[in-house]
Amino acid sequence: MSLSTVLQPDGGAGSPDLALLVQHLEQATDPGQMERAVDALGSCGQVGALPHLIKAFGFNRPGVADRALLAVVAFGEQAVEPLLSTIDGYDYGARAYSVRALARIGDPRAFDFLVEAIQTDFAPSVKRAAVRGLGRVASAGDAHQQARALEVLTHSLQDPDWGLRYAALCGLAEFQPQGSPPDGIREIVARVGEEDPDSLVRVKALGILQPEVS
Amino acid sequence: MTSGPTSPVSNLAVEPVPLSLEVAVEQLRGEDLSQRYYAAWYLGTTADPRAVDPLLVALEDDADRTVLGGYPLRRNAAKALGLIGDQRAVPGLIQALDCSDDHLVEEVAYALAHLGDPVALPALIDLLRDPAAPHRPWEALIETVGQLGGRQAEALIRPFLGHGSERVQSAAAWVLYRFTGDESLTEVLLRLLKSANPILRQAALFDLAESGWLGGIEAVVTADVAVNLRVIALKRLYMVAVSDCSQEKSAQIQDLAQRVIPWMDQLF
Repeated sequence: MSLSTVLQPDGGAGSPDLALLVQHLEQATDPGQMERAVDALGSCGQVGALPHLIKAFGFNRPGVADRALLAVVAFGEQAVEPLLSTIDGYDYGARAYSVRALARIGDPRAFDFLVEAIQTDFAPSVKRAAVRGLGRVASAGDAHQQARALEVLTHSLQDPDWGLRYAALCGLAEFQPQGSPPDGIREIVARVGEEDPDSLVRVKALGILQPEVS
Repeated sequence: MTSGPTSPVSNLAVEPVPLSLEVAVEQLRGEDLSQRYYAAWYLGTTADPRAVDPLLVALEDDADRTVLGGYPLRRNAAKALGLIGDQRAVPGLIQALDCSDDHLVEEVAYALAHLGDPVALPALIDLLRDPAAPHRPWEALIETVGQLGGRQAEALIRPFLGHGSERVQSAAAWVLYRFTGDESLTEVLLRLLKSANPILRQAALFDLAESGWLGGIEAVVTADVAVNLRVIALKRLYMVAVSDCSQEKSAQIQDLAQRVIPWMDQLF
């Protein structure tokens, strides 16, 4: 049976066979086949697809990992436990994709893991992804998490890596615990807009202050 | 985490022993070819302008030769002079372009690009006059002429769009786009960005960034290249595009930022 047959609307004949979709992904030899297999696994809607989609973060094919990320994020809260229980301790590229997924889903169960990654991971891409997600994740968390997130995000604005500072601005922009940014954030962001050594970080900060134009 | 200086364990295999400037310069002037080669590299990492004069001497070295006639020490000296970034190195580097060692000429060209002085343009452009010459470091020469803004070389660079090497085509395409703004040139870059060869995709990604072509933003963001490289490339594209604007905070820069930032946010 070809993949295109699997992808046909089944007209009520039942959900696509997960094992078959997984097999297509595992047997794919070129990136186009991998991407189609990832899309098919994502759209099958079965939670059992998640471990296989997460595994695709580590195929060392960025185009495939990008598709898998969209597919995993579409599962929402259901993806949080599978993501947290299969973090790749060796492949930092794959780990960064898992962190991006957790960041986009924004579930507070990821909070401790993100803070730990920011403080101890050696890979800049993992730290950036974790900082970027902290605001959204903490917005849905408890008061302690919110206070800690604000502390970690403002501290990250001092990092020598421009990318981490940029990520911290994204995190601050999404940090809206009561549906709006807490007091003092505008002043912090405004100072970045004036003083950051990197011109892209400065314009990012100015864009946050003027949401109507950015 | 690396262990601090008081730690009883030190890993000499990954942490080079720091040399003082005096010791490194002494080694550079010494007899031991491998020590000289290392010292030239090391001085580049220090970015200490006091290393410029001894490195310029090493740039004329005749002792260190490969069996094929190359000049390894000169190559390292050229690279180090680029890294140090002191304009006093420019005349010596221009002179070093006149050498049969293509690897040396390549290092010299990139060092001159780093130093950014357009006074190097006539010598660089002279080397582009014979596109049929075999084994010239065309990519480095074309890119350096592009970085230094050598628009007078447009007609000389154009034939390289049909060169046998895709990397040379790609270099010619971004440089000519910067000179002319002709969008048809970007097709070469977009095609290479879809290459099955990951090395070529990566080269095309950074060439697209150097073009500063805003129409290429989406292609950079969705390229089949590692995310951290896409981040660096998108930032570079923005910086190149901004370099054409007159003042920070101008409406033009705001407009540019608004086109780039949503895509950058997506990569994070």
